[in-house]
Amino acid sequence: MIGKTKRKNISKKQTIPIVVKIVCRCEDVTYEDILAIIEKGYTDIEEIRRYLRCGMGVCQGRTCMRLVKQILNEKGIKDVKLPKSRPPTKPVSVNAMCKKHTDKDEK
Amino acid sequence: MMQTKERDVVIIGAGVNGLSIAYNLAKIDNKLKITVLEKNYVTSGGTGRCGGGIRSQFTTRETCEIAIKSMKIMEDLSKELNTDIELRQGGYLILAHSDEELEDFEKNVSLQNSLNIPSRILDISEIKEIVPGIEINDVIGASFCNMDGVANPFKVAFGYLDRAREMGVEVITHNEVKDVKLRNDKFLVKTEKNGYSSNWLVNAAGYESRKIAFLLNIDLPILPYEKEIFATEPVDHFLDPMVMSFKKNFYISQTVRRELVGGYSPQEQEPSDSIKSSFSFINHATGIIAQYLPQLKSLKIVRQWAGSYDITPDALPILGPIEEAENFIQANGFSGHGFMLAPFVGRAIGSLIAGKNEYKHVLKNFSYERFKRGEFREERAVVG
Repeated sequence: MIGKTKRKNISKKQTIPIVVKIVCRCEDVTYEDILAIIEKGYTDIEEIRRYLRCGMGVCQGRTCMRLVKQILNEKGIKDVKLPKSRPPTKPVSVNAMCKKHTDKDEK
Repeated sequence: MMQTKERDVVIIGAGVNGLSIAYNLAKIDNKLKITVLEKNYVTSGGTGRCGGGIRSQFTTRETCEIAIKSMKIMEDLSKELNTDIELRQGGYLILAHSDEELEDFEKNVSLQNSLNIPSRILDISEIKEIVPGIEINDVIGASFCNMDGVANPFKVAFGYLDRAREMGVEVITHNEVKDVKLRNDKFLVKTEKNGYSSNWLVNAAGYESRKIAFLLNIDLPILPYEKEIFATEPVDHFLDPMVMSFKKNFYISQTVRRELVGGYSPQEQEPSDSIKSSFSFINHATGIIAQYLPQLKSLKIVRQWAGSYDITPDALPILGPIEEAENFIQANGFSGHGFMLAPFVGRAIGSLIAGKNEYKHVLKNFSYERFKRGEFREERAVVG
């Protein structure tokens, strides 16, 4: 089941519930966005990812890819493989990753 | 018995070039039956792996001419495709590390200016003005063109695809081409799922184009070179131009989505069809780029990936018909510039197949036959 987010208006008395089903939190992709793209004929999870950018944000698809797979399954698309994950496993600072150059390295 | 479909045009490869050709051709003549065949998924090759840079600063007249034409189309492409391609023209800043290099750049700039490319040479203080915080102790100047920039390759490719489909173009994914034969002026294309018989065959298969041409006993001089790239988390916009260096072999830019995207390759590389991410790449690439842009050190890398450049002997693409089979059209060997040239390539090849051939005089500079005659000059502006 896709999670529901309720946002409240500033006035406490007048609450207008806005129901948005967010699938990808990093790139603000909604359940409706996924349905619309399936409707358009895109059923390959790799294409959906590149088209809508769900899974391309900071979390790299840890939350949304399984949900997208689930939605595809609900729409009758079977054998959906999760996209290939790319390193690093979690975001790492450039400072930790980068080679510290010395004069010796300069060729 | 495998089903054979009759088509006017079969395009191999659903990357940005194959899709641009399909779209432009359908736009000129929407009665044509056009099929795009893709072995994997849309943008699974070079298009989905590239850095998204677009530039007109090249070193040969031939490349400059098509690069500027492509740039002009790219500038209006969001409107044409009715989708935001996330174009940002912050310029390309190419660092010169020696007097020799700067002299070369001066020659390039005068060639580019003669072709209406508004590039110019910058001194140190101008570089620092355009890129605040840049460390350029080993730099003596730069070449800069404010028209250059970045766009989103996915948006462009899917934009072409969606508009092409609306005009009736068929795009079939996960259907690899297994064999091609030419019989009585028809191409018989056998795929893993079915077969096609077509009047025209377009080879836009990226770094697998050589394999496709082999099926018709044509040997395209294309070699694959592995290239790696990384993207950071999005941060407040701080980098206007794409900064690059041929000497250090890196490039880095900030996209409309505010991620930094950078690439680097060692100077001496052997051809290889491997596409694997390596620690050595991220270690060296960030190390070298952070020497010039120390701001990078505080950012986080969210992903790194690899792709392949399809490099020809002169680093210029192979475009248009070939003598042995006139309706076998090449759009490959882009040598790392496939995305930026795709808007022009689509128009030129589309016009050729539709019988108008408005760009005949331009396409002939990129014919396969130049290698047979040995008449070619090397495009030296290749990076990453």
